[in-house]
Amino acid sequence: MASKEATVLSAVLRNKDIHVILGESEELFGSYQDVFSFIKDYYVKYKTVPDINLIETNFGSVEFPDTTAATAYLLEDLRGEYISNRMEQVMLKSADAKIAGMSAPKRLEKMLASLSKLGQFSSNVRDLSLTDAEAAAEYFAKIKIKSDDNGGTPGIPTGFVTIDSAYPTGMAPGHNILLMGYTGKGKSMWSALLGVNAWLKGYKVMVVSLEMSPEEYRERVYAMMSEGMFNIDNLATGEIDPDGFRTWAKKKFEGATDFIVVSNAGNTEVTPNTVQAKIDTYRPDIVIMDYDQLFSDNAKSQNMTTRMMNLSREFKLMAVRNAIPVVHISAVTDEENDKRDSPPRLGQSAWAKAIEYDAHLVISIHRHDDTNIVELAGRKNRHGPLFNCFFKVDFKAGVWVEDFG
Amino acid sequence: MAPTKAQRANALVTFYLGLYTDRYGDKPFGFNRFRDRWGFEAMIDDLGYGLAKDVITYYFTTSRYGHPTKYLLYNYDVLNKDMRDAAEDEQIRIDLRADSKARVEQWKAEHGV
Repeated sequence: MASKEATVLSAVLRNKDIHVILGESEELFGSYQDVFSFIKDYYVKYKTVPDINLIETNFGSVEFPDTTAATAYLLEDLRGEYISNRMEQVMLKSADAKIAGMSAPKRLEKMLASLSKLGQFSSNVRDLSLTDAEAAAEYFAKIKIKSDDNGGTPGIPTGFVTIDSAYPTGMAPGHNILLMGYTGKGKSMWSALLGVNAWLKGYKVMVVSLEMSPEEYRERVYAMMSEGMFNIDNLATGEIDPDGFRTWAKKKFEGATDFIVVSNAGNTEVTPNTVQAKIDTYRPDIVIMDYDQLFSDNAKSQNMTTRMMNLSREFKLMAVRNAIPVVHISAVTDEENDKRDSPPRLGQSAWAKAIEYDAHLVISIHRHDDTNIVELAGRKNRHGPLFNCFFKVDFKAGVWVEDFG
Repeated sequence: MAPTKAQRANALVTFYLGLYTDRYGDKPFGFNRFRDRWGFEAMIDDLGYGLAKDVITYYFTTSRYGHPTKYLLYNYDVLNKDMRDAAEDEQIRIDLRADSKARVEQWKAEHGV
Protein backbone atom coordinates (compact mmCIF):
# COMPACT_ATOMS: atom_id res chain seq x y z
CA MET A 1 0.00 0.00 0.00
CA ALA A 2 1.29 3.43 -0.93
CA SER A 3 2.29 5.77 1.85
CA LYS A 4 0.25 8.87 2.68
CA GLU A 5 3.21 11.10 1.75
CA ALA A 6 3.37 9.59 -1.74
CA THR A 7 -0.41 9.87 -2.12
CA VAL A 8 -0.34 13.62 -1.31
CA LEU A 9 2.49 14.22 -3.76
CA SER A 10 0.73 12.14 -6.37
CA ALA A 11 -2.43 14.25 -5.95
CA VAL A 12 -0.39 17.43 -6.35
CA LEU A 13 1.19 16.13 -9.54
CA ARG A 14 -2.16 15.11 -10.98
CA ASN A 15 -4.31 18.04 -9.76
CA LYS A 16 -1.52 20.59 -10.34
CA ASP A 17 -2.56 22.41 -7.13
CA ILE A 18 0.88 22.88 -5.60
CA HIS A 19 -0.28 25.92 -3.59
CA VAL A 20 -1.87 23.48 -1.13
CA ILE A 21 1.53 22.16 -0.04
CA LEU A 22 3.84 25.10 -0.77
CA GLY A 23 3.83 26.35 2.82
CA GLU A 24 4.35 22.92 4.35
CA SER A 25 7.44 21.81 6.20
CA GLU A 26 9.68 19.22 4.53
CA GLU A 27 9.53 17.24 7.72
CA LEU A 28 5.94 16.29 7.04
CA PHE A 29 6.95 14.29 3.96
CA GLY A 30 9.26 11.92 5.83
CA SER A 31 11.25 9.77 3.41
CA TYR A 32 9.76 11.73 0.47
CA GLN A 33 11.40 15.01 1.51
CA ASP A 34 13.68 14.98 -1.55
CA VAL A 35 10.71 14.52 -3.89
CA PHE A 36 8.79 17.29 -2.15
CA SER A 37 11.80 19.64 -2.43
CA PHE A 38 12.28 18.75 -6.09
CA ILE A 39 8.64 19.52 -6.96
CA LYS A 40 8.73 22.75 -5.01
CA ASP A 41 12.05 23.92 -6.51
CA TYR A 42 10.90 22.97 -10.00
CA TYR A 43 7.75 25.02 -9.55
CA VAL A 44 9.64 28.01 -8.20
CA LYS A 45 12.05 27.89 -11.15
CA TYR A 46 9.71 27.05 -14.06
CA LYS A 47 6.34 28.21 -12.70
CA THR A 48 4.71 24.91 -13.48
CA VAL A 49 4.17 21.63 -11.66
CA PRO A 50 6.45 18.92 -13.12
CA ASP A 51 5.01 16.01 -15.03
CA ILE A 52 4.60 12.81 -13.06
CA ASN A 53 6.79 10.96 -15.60
CA LEU A 54 9.66 13.31 -14.88
CA ILE A 55 9.44 12.54 -11.16
CA GLU A 56 9.28 8.83 -11.83
CA THR A 57 12.35 9.09 -14.05
CA ASN A 58 14.30 11.08 -11.47
CA PHE A 59 13.18 9.07 -8.45
CA GLY A 60 12.93 5.59 -9.98
CA SER A 61 11.97 3.72 -6.88
CA VAL A 62 9.04 5.97 -5.93
CA GLU A 63 5.51 4.79 -6.60
CA PHE A 64 2.77 7.35 -7.09
CA PRO A 65 -0.65 5.81 -6.57
CA ASP A 66 -3.63 6.83 -8.66
CA THR A 67 -5.88 9.11 -6.70
CA THR A 68 -8.90 11.27 -7.43
CA ALA A 69 -9.21 12.71 -3.92
CA ALA A 70 -8.69 16.43 -3.26
CA THR A 71 -5.11 17.30 -2.33
CA ALA A 72 -6.26 19.31 0.70
CA TYR A 73 -8.14 16.32 2.08
CA LEU A 74 -5.14 14.02 1.65
CA LEU A 75 -2.83 16.61 3.22
CA GLU A 76 -5.09 16.88 6.26
CA ASP A 77 -5.01 13.11 6.58
CA LEU A 78 -1.20 13.08 6.34
CA ARG A 79 -0.94 15.78 9.00
CA GLY A 80 -3.13 13.77 11.35
CA GLU A 81 -0.95 10.72 10.93
CA TYR A 82 2.23 12.76 11.34
CA ILE A 83 1.04 14.40 14.57
CA SER A 84 -0.07 11.07 15.97
CA ASN A 85 3.28 9.42 15.17
CA ARG A 86 5.29 12.31 16.55
CA MET A 87 3.27 12.33 19.77
CA GLU A 88 3.99 8.65 20.20
CA GLN A 89 7.71 9.29 19.63
CA VAL A 90 7.71 12.11 22.19
CA MET A 91 6.10 9.83 24.79
CA LEU A 92 8.53 7.01 24.06
CA LYS A 93 11.52 9.34 24.24
CA SER A 94 10.29 10.64 27.57
CA ALA A 95 9.96 7.09 28.86
CA ASP A 96 13.51 6.33 27.68
CA ALA A 97 14.77 9.48 29.36
CA LYS A 98 13.13 8.38 32.61
CA ILE A 99 14.93 5.04 32.42
CA ALA A 100 18.17 6.93 31.70
CA GLY A 101 17.62 8.90 34.91
CA MET A 102 16.65 12.32 33.57
CA SER A 103 14.78 14.41 36.14
CA ALA A 104 11.01 14.81 35.79
CA PRO A 105 11.09 18.65 35.35
CA LYS A 106 13.72 18.33 32.61
CA ARG A 107 11.68 15.64 30.85
CA LEU A 108 8.55 17.75 31.13
CA GLU A 109 10.37 20.73 29.66
CA LYS A 110 11.57 18.65 26.72
CA MET A 111 8.14 17.15 26.17
CA LEU A 112 6.43 20.54 26.22
CA ALA A 113 8.93 21.94 23.74
CA SER A 114 8.46 18.99 21.37
CA LEU A 115 4.67 19.04 21.62
CA SER A 116 4.53 22.80 21.07
CA LYS A 117 6.53 22.42 17.87
CA LEU A 118 3.80 20.11 16.62
CA GLY A 119 1.39 23.04 16.77
CA GLN A 120 2.61 24.21 13.37
CA PHE A 121 1.20 21.05 11.80
CA SER A 122 -2.26 21.50 13.26
CA SER A 123 -2.82 24.98 11.87
CA ASN A 124 -3.11 26.31 8.37
CA VAL A 125 -2.25 29.50 6.61
CA ARG A 126 -5.58 31.31 6.61
CA ASP A 127 -6.92 32.58 3.29
CA LEU A 128 -9.61 35.16 2.95
CA SER A 129 -11.63 35.99 -0.14
CA LEU A 130 -12.24 39.73 -0.30
CA THR A 131 -15.11 39.32 -2.75
CA ASP A 132 -17.12 37.16 -0.33
CA ALA A 133 -19.32 39.98 0.97
CA GLU A 134 -21.63 37.64 2.88
CA ALA A 135 -18.79 36.24 4.96
CA ALA A 136 -17.52 39.77 5.58
CA ALA A 137 -20.96 40.97 6.71
CA GLU A 138 -21.22 38.01 9.09
CA TYR A 139 -17.78 38.84 10.49
CA PHE A 140 -18.70 42.52 10.99
CA ALA A 141 -21.87 41.51 12.84
CA LYS A 142 -19.83 39.34 15.20
CA ILE A 143 -17.34 42.15 15.78
CA LYS A 144 -20.17 44.57 16.52
CA ILE A 145 -21.60 42.27 19.20
CA LYS A 146 -18.16 41.91 20.78
CA SER A 147 -17.57 45.64 20.55
CA ASP A 148 -20.90 46.46 22.21
CA ASP A 149 -20.06 44.03 25.00
CA ASN A 150 -16.76 45.80 25.63
CA GLY A 151 -18.15 49.32 25.62
CA GLY A 152 -17.06 50.19 22.10
CA THR A 153 -13.93 48.14 21.36
CA PRO A 154 -13.81 44.66 19.83
CA GLY A 155 -10.63 43.82 21.73
CA ILE A 156 -9.89 44.08 25.43
CA PRO A 157 -9.99 47.70 26.64
CA THR A 158 -6.82 48.78 28.43
CA GLY A 159 -8.83 50.57 31.11
CA PHE A 160 -6.86 53.78 30.50
CA VAL A 161 -9.01 56.39 28.78
CA THR A 162 -6.01 57.98 27.07
CA ILE A 163 -5.21 54.73 25.26
CA ASP A 164 -8.75 53.44 24.78
CA SER A 165 -9.78 56.70 23.11
CA ALA A 166 -6.83 56.41 20.67
CA TYR A 167 -6.80 52.63 20.13
CA PRO A 168 -10.29 51.84 18.86
CA THR A 169 -9.68 48.13 18.34
CA GLY A 170 -8.64 47.59 21.96
CA MET A 171 -6.14 44.80 22.61
CA ALA A 172 -7.58 42.57 19.92
CA PRO A 173 -6.78 38.95 19.01
CA GLY A 174 -3.41 38.74 17.27
CA HIS A 175 -2.18 42.09 18.54
CA ASN A 176 1.43 42.33 19.57
CA ILE A 177 1.87 45.12 22.12
CA LEU A 178 5.26 46.32 23.27
CA LEU A 179 5.96 48.25 26.47
CA MET A 180 9.42 49.75 26.71
CA GLY A 181 11.29 51.70 29.32
CA TYR A 182 14.51 52.16 31.24
CA THR A 183 15.12 49.86 34.15
CA GLY A 184 13.27 50.74 37.35
CA LYS A 185 11.01 53.28 35.66
CA GLY A 186 7.61 51.66 36.19
CA LYS A 187 7.06 49.43 33.16
CA SER A 188 6.51 46.17 35.07
CA MET A 189 4.17 47.85 37.50
CA TRP A 190 2.15 49.49 34.76
CA SER A 191 1.88 46.19 32.89
CA ALA A 192 0.53 44.57 36.07
CA LEU A 193 -2.11 47.29 36.22
CA LEU A 194 -2.97 46.58 32.58
CA GLY A 195 -3.50 42.94 33.59
CA VAL A 196 -5.64 43.94 36.57
CA ASN A 197 -7.82 46.16 34.36
CA ALA A 198 -8.38 43.30 31.91
CA TRP A 199 -9.16 40.93 34.79
CA LEU A 200 -11.66 43.41 36.28
CA LYS A 201 -13.46 43.31 32.92
CA GLY A 202 -13.77 39.54 33.24
CA TYR A 203 -10.84 38.42 31.06
CA LYS A 204 -8.53 35.61 32.05
CA VAL A 205 -5.01 37.02 32.38
CA MET A 206 -1.75 35.09 32.28
CA VAL A 207 1.45 36.88 33.28
CA VAL A 208 4.83 35.28 32.62
CA SER A 209 7.09 37.05 35.06
CA LEU A 210 10.76 36.21 34.77
CA GLU A 211 11.85 39.29 36.66
CA MET A 212 10.20 38.74 40.01
CA SER A 213 8.88 35.86 42.04
CA PRO A 214 5.18 35.01 41.71
CA GLU A 215 4.68 36.01 45.36
CA GLU A 216 6.20 39.42 44.74
CA TYR A 217 4.01 39.84 41.68
CA ARG A 218 0.96 38.79 43.67
CA GLU A 219 1.65 41.50 46.26
CA ARG A 220 1.67 44.16 43.56
CA VAL A 221 -1.50 42.82 42.00
CA TYR A 222 -3.33 42.56 45.35
CA ALA A 223 -2.37 46.15 46.18
CA MET A 224 -3.78 47.27 42.83
CA MET A 225 -6.90 45.13 43.08
CA SER A 226 -7.61 46.43 46.57
CA GLU A 227 -7.14 50.04 45.39
CA GLY A 228 -5.03 50.93 48.40
CA MET A 229 -6.71 48.78 51.04
CA PHE A 230 -3.51 46.73 51.28
CA ASN A 231 -0.24 48.42 50.51
CA ILE A 232 2.70 46.65 48.91
CA ASP A 233 5.01 47.00 51.91
CA ASN A 234 2.47 45.55 54.33
CA LEU A 235 1.78 42.66 52.01
CA ALA A 236 5.50 42.03 51.59
CA THR A 237 6.07 41.90 55.35
CA GLY A 238 2.85 40.04 56.09
CA GLU A 239 1.58 42.86 58.27
CA ILE A 240 -2.07 42.57 57.35
CA ASP A 241 -5.15 41.53 59.24
CA PRO A 242 -5.67 37.94 58.00
CA ASP A 243 -9.43 38.01 58.59
CA GLY A 244 -9.79 41.34 56.83
CA PHE A 245 -7.77 39.96 53.95
CA ARG A 246 -9.86 36.80 53.70
CA THR A 247 -13.09 38.80 53.73
CA TRP A 248 -11.79 41.07 50.98
CA ALA A 249 -10.47 38.15 48.91
CA LYS A 250 -13.72 36.20 49.21
CA LYS A 251 -15.69 39.16 47.95
CA LYS A 252 -13.19 39.95 45.21
CA PHE A 253 -12.54 36.47 43.85
CA GLU A 254 -15.92 34.82 44.19
CA GLY A 255 -17.03 33.82 40.70
CA ALA A 256 -14.09 35.71 39.16
CA THR A 257 -12.05 34.44 36.23
CA ASP A 258 -8.52 33.28 36.93
CA PHE A 259 -5.41 35.47 37.03
CA ILE A 260 -2.36 33.27 36.49
CA VAL A 261 1.24 34.19 37.23
CA VAL A 262 3.86 31.93 35.68
CA SER A 263 7.44 32.18 36.85
CA ASN A 264 10.57 30.16 36.24
CA ALA A 265 11.83 31.09 39.71
CA GLY A 266 15.15 31.85 38.03
CA ASN A 267 15.77 28.17 37.29
CA THR A 268 15.10 27.26 33.70
CA GLU A 269 15.17 28.97 30.37
CA VAL A 270 11.72 30.08 29.25
CA THR A 271 11.03 30.06 25.52
CA PRO A 272 7.91 30.90 23.50
CA ASN A 273 7.33 27.12 23.32
CA THR A 274 7.18 27.02 27.13
CA VAL A 275 4.72 29.91 27.10
CA GLN A 276 2.67 28.16 24.41
CA ALA A 277 2.40 25.09 26.63
CA LYS A 278 1.10 27.32 29.44
CA ILE A 279 -1.38 28.93 27.04
CA ASP A 280 -2.58 25.46 26.07
CA THR A 281 -3.00 24.66 29.76
CA TYR A 282 -4.73 27.83 30.97
CA ARG A 283 -6.36 29.21 27.79
CA PRO A 284 -5.94 32.89 28.79
CA ASP A 285 -7.60 35.81 27.02
CA ILE A 286 -4.42 37.89 27.24
CA VAL A 287 -0.76 37.13 27.95
CA ILE A 288 1.70 39.59 29.51
CA MET A 289 5.42 38.77 29.42
CA ASP A 290 7.98 40.49 31.61
CA TYR A 291 10.55 40.92 30.06
CA ASP A 292 11.91 40.05 26.58
CA GLN A 293 15.61 40.05 27.39
CA LEU A 294 15.09 37.34 30.04
CA PHE A 295 13.44 34.94 27.57
CA SER A 296 15.22 32.55 25.21
CA ASP A 297 13.99 32.06 21.68
CA ASN A 298 12.84 28.58 20.63
CA ALA A 299 16.20 27.88 19.02
CA LYS A 300 17.96 29.02 22.23
CA SER A 301 20.24 31.31 20.24
CA GLN A 302 23.28 32.60 22.10
CA ASN A 303 23.68 35.75 20.03
CA MET A 304 21.44 38.39 21.62
CA THR A 305 20.47 40.15 18.38
CA THR A 306 19.44 36.86 16.75
CA ARG A 307 17.64 35.86 19.91
CA MET A 308 15.66 39.08 20.07
CA MET A 309 14.78 38.99 16.37
CA ASN A 310 13.51 35.42 16.70
CA LEU A 311 11.65 36.19 19.91
CA SER A 312 9.90 39.12 18.34
CA ARG A 313 8.64 36.96 15.49
CA GLU A 314 7.72 34.10 17.82
CA PHE A 315 5.70 36.39 20.11
CA LYS A 316 3.90 37.81 17.11
CA LEU A 317 3.05 34.34 15.80
CA MET A 318 1.95 33.33 19.29
CA ALA A 319 -0.57 36.19 19.31
CA VAL A 320 -1.90 35.26 15.87
CA ARG A 321 -1.95 31.49 16.38
CA ASN A 322 -3.81 31.71 19.69
CA ALA A 323 -5.99 34.65 18.61
CA ILE A 324 -5.18 36.58 21.77
CA PRO A 325 -3.32 39.84 22.41
CA VAL A 326 0.24 39.42 23.63
CA VAL A 327 1.84 42.19 25.67
CA HIS A 328 5.58 42.08 26.21
CA ILE A 329 8.09 44.34 27.87
CA SER A 330 11.47 45.31 26.50
CA ALA A 331 14.39 46.94 28.21
CA VAL A 332 15.95 49.76 26.23
CA THR A 333 19.48 50.46 25.17
CA ASP A 334 20.84 53.20 27.33
CA GLU A 335 22.45 55.53 24.82
CA GLU A 336 24.90 57.54 26.85
CA ASN A 337 24.13 60.73 24.99
CA ASP A 338 20.43 60.43 25.63
CA LYS A 339 18.67 62.49 28.17
CA ARG A 340 17.78 59.81 30.65
CA ASP A 341 14.86 61.59 32.26
CA SER A 342 12.41 61.20 29.40
CA PRO A 343 10.54 58.26 27.85
CA PRO A 344 12.72 56.26 25.44
CA ARG A 345 12.11 56.73 21.76
CA LEU A 346 11.60 54.22 18.96
CA GLY A 347 14.89 52.65 18.02
CA GLN A 348 16.00 52.18 21.59
CA SER A 349 14.54 48.71 22.25
CA ALA A 350 17.50 46.62 23.35
CA TRP A 351 19.31 44.43 20.81
CA ALA A 352 16.86 44.35 17.90
CA LYS A 353 14.69 46.94 16.27
CA ALA A 354 12.52 44.09 14.91
CA ILE A 355 10.79 44.16 18.30
CA GLU A 356 9.31 47.54 17.38
CA TYR A 357 8.62 46.73 13.73
CA ASP A 358 6.57 43.68 14.68
CA ALA A 359 4.41 45.51 17.22
CA HIS A 360 0.92 46.93 16.65
CA LEU A 361 1.27 49.29 19.56
CA VAL A 362 4.44 50.56 21.25
CA ILE A 363 4.16 52.39 24.56
CA SER A 364 7.07 54.00 26.31
CA ILE A 365 6.77 54.21 30.10
CA HIS A 366 8.88 56.52 32.18
CA ARG A 367 8.86 57.56 35.81
CA HIS A 368 10.36 61.04 36.03
CA ASP A 369 13.31 61.29 38.40
CA ASP A 370 12.51 61.86 42.07
CA THR A 371 8.77 62.24 41.47
CA ASN A 372 5.64 60.11 41.62
CA ILE A 373 4.85 61.10 38.03
CA VAL A 374 4.92 58.43 35.34
CA GLU A 375 4.69 59.47 31.72
CA LEU A 376 3.07 57.22 29.15
CA ALA A 377 4.13 57.99 25.58
CA GLY A 378 2.51 56.24 22.63
CA ARG A 379 5.41 55.69 20.18
CA LYS A 380 3.64 53.62 17.52
CA ASN A 381 -0.03 52.95 16.96
CA ARG A 382 -1.19 51.03 13.90
CA HIS A 383 -4.84 51.63 14.72
CA GLY A 384 -5.07 55.28 15.65
CA PRO A 385 -3.25 58.45 16.68
CA LEU A 386 -0.32 58.63 19.06
CA PHE A 387 -1.06 59.69 22.63
CA ASN A 388 0.58 60.93 25.79
CA CYS A 389 -0.42 61.37 29.39
CA PHE A 390 0.93 61.48 32.93
CA PHE A 391 -0.05 59.32 35.85
CA LYS A 392 0.09 60.47 39.44
CA VAL A 393 1.06 57.33 41.25
CA ASP A 394 0.88 56.12 44.82
CA PHE A 395 3.40 53.30 44.38
CA LYS A 396 2.85 51.74 47.79
CA ALA A 397 -0.91 51.60 47.39
CA GLY A 398 -0.74 50.70 43.70
CA VAL A 399 -3.07 53.54 42.76
CA TRP A 400 -2.52 55.24 39.37
CA VAL A 401 -4.50 58.30 38.31
CA GLU A 402 -4.39 59.63 34.73
CA ASP A 403 -3.45 63.25 34.48
CA PHE A 404 -2.49 65.70 31.73
CA GLY A 405 -0.30 68.04 33.75
CA MET B 1 33.54 96.67 26.08
CA ALA B 2 32.67 93.21 24.77
CA PRO B 3 34.50 90.32 26.42
CA THR B 4 37.43 88.87 24.50
CA LYS B 5 37.41 85.38 23.06
CA ALA B 6 39.67 84.18 25.88
CA GLN B 7 37.43 85.73 28.52
CA ARG B 8 34.34 84.03 27.10
CA ALA B 9 36.18 80.68 26.94
CA ASN B 10 37.24 81.14 30.57
CA ALA B 11 33.65 81.93 31.54
CA LEU B 12 32.48 78.75 29.79
CA VAL B 13 35.16 76.71 31.57
CA THR B 14 33.96 78.15 34.88
CA PHE B 15 30.36 77.29 33.96
CA TYR B 16 31.36 73.70 33.11
CA LEU B 17 33.40 73.31 36.31
CA GLY B 18 30.47 74.66 38.34
CA LEU B 19 28.08 72.00 37.00
CA TYR B 20 30.74 69.31 37.36
CA THR B 21 31.45 70.24 40.96
CA ASP B 22 27.70 70.33 41.76
CA ARG B 23 27.43 66.81 40.44
CA TYR B 24 30.63 65.19 41.70
CA GLY B 25 31.73 67.45 44.57
CA ASP B 26 35.12 68.26 43.03
CA LYS B 27 36.80 69.43 39.83
CA PRO B 28 37.47 66.76 37.16
CA PHE B 29 40.68 64.87 37.90
CA GLY B 30 43.57 66.13 35.74
CA PHE B 31 41.70 69.20 34.53
CA ASN B 32 44.03 71.88 33.13
CA ARG B 33 42.29 75.19 32.52
CA PHE B 34 45.08 76.49 30.25
CA ARG B 35 45.13 73.42 28.00
CA ASP B 36 41.38 72.67 27.98
CA ARG B 37 40.39 76.29 27.40
CA TRP B 38 41.18 75.85 23.68
CA GLY B 39 38.51 73.18 23.36
CA PHE B 40 35.96 75.46 25.00
CA GLU B 41 37.03 78.27 22.69
CA ALA B 42 36.40 76.02 19.66
CA MET B 43 33.03 75.15 21.11
CA ILE B 44 32.11 78.86 21.27
CA ASP B 45 33.39 79.35 17.71
CA ASP B 46 31.15 76.56 16.41
CA LEU B 47 28.04 76.94 18.53
CA GLY B 48 28.11 80.45 19.93
CA TYR B 49 28.37 81.15 23.66
CA GLY B 50 24.66 80.69 24.54
CA LEU B 51 24.23 77.38 22.72
CA ALA B 52 27.55 76.09 24.09
CA LYS B 53 26.20 76.70 27.62
CA ASP B 54 22.97 74.86 26.74
CA VAL B 55 24.95 71.89 25.39
CA ILE B 56 27.01 71.73 28.59
CA THR B 57 23.83 71.84 30.68
CA TYR B 58 22.34 69.07 28.49
CA TYR B 59 25.53 67.02 28.85
CA PHE B 60 24.93 66.75 32.59
CA THR B 61 21.38 65.42 32.05
CA THR B 62 22.73 62.46 30.06
CA SER B 63 23.87 59.18 31.55
CA ARG B 64 27.44 59.50 30.20
CA TYR B 65 29.55 57.97 32.95
CA GLY B 66 31.74 60.53 34.73
CA HIS B 67 30.90 63.29 32.21
CA PRO B 68 34.54 63.56 31.12
CA THR B 69 35.77 66.89 29.74
CA LYS B 70 37.44 65.18 26.80
CA TYR B 71 34.18 63.57 25.66
CA LEU B 72 32.40 66.92 25.78
CA LEU B 73 35.10 68.70 23.78
CA TYR B 74 35.37 65.95 21.16
CA ASN B 75 31.60 65.44 20.76
CA TYR B 76 29.81 68.72 21.41
CA ASP B 77 28.41 68.63 17.86
CA VAL B 78 26.85 65.19 18.51
CA LEU B 79 25.56 66.35 21.88
CA ASN B 80 24.06 69.40 20.24
CA LYS B 81 22.17 67.19 17.77
CA ASP B 82 20.98 64.88 20.53
CA MET B 83 19.86 67.88 22.56
CA ARG B 84 17.84 69.18 19.61
CA ASP B 85 16.28 65.75 19.03
CA ALA B 86 15.37 65.52 22.71
CA ALA B 87 13.83 69.00 22.67
CA GLU B 88 11.89 68.16 19.52
CA ASP B 89 10.62 64.95 21.12
CA GLU B 90 9.63 66.87 24.23
CA GLN B 91 7.58 69.32 22.17
CA ILE B 92 5.93 66.47 20.28
CA ARG B 93 4.96 64.86 23.58
CA ILE B 94 3.55 68.13 24.90
CA ASP B 95 1.44 68.50 21.75
CA LEU B 96 0.30 64.89 21.93
CA ARG B 97 -0.67 65.39 25.55
CA ALA B 98 -2.87 68.32 24.57
CA ASP B 99 -4.44 66.26 21.75
CA SER B 100 -4.95 63.34 24.11
CA LYS B 101 -6.61 65.54 26.70
CA ALA B 102 -9.11 66.82 24.12
CA ARG B 103 -9.75 63.32 22.80
CA VAL B 104 -10.29 61.95 26.30
CA GLU B 105 -12.84 64.67 27.07
CA GLN B 106 -14.69 63.88 23.86
CA TRP B 107 -14.53 60.15 24.55
CA LYS B 108 -15.85 60.63 28.08
CA ALA B 109 -18.73 62.74 26.79
CA GLU B 110 -19.58 60.11 24.16
CA HIS B 111 -19.38 57.25 26.64
CA GLY B 112 -21.13 59.08 29.48
CA VAL B 113 -18.16 58.70 31.82
